[in-house]
Amino acid sequence: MRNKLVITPELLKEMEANVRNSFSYQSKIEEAKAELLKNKEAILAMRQHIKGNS
Amino acid sequence: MKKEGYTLIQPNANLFTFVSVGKKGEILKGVFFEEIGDDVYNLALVDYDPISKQWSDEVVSDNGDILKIMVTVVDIIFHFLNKNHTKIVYFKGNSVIRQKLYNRIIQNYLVELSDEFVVWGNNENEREIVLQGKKYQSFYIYKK
Repeated sequence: MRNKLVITPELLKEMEANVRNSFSYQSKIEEAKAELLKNKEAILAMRQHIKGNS
Repeated sequence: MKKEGYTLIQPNANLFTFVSVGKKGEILKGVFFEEIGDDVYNLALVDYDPISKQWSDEVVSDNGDILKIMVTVVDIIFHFLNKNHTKIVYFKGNSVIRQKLYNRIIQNYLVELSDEFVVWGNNENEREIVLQGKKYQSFYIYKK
């Protein structure tokens, strides 16, 4: 059983600050960007749908 | 949402955190949205280890509360997209287990999600509005 967590404002700040330098995050973001390029046409259709609804 | 998820701790614009409580104790989890294109945001579901001070999206926490986590992730998607009507959220499991988890989330909550949002599923050479019971490698979701 792990210890009970104590959530402090400092811990929350630290968590937020550590998001981008953890878990090989950047390479995954690059992959997501590459997939976005492959899906250009679908994204365009989504944007038009969003525009049409707003 | 009918089922109850975890309470969010101090949600900010792009990072939503909550504590998973289960058979392994308490685990800090976060859902992080990062912009990857014009108004398109990547969603990452990650665990935080306060000792190593590292986030990881590769751990399988197996805390016995997967249903509650799924409800919480859907709540967060609702929260994020209801505040950001023109944004598109993208997510993809980086492992077979994650892919199964994301497919379960979408399939289990497709009816609720489809009331307010449009959900697209992507496979290798196929992009379409998500069909009930079909599995996808990644998803895009946006407000109707």
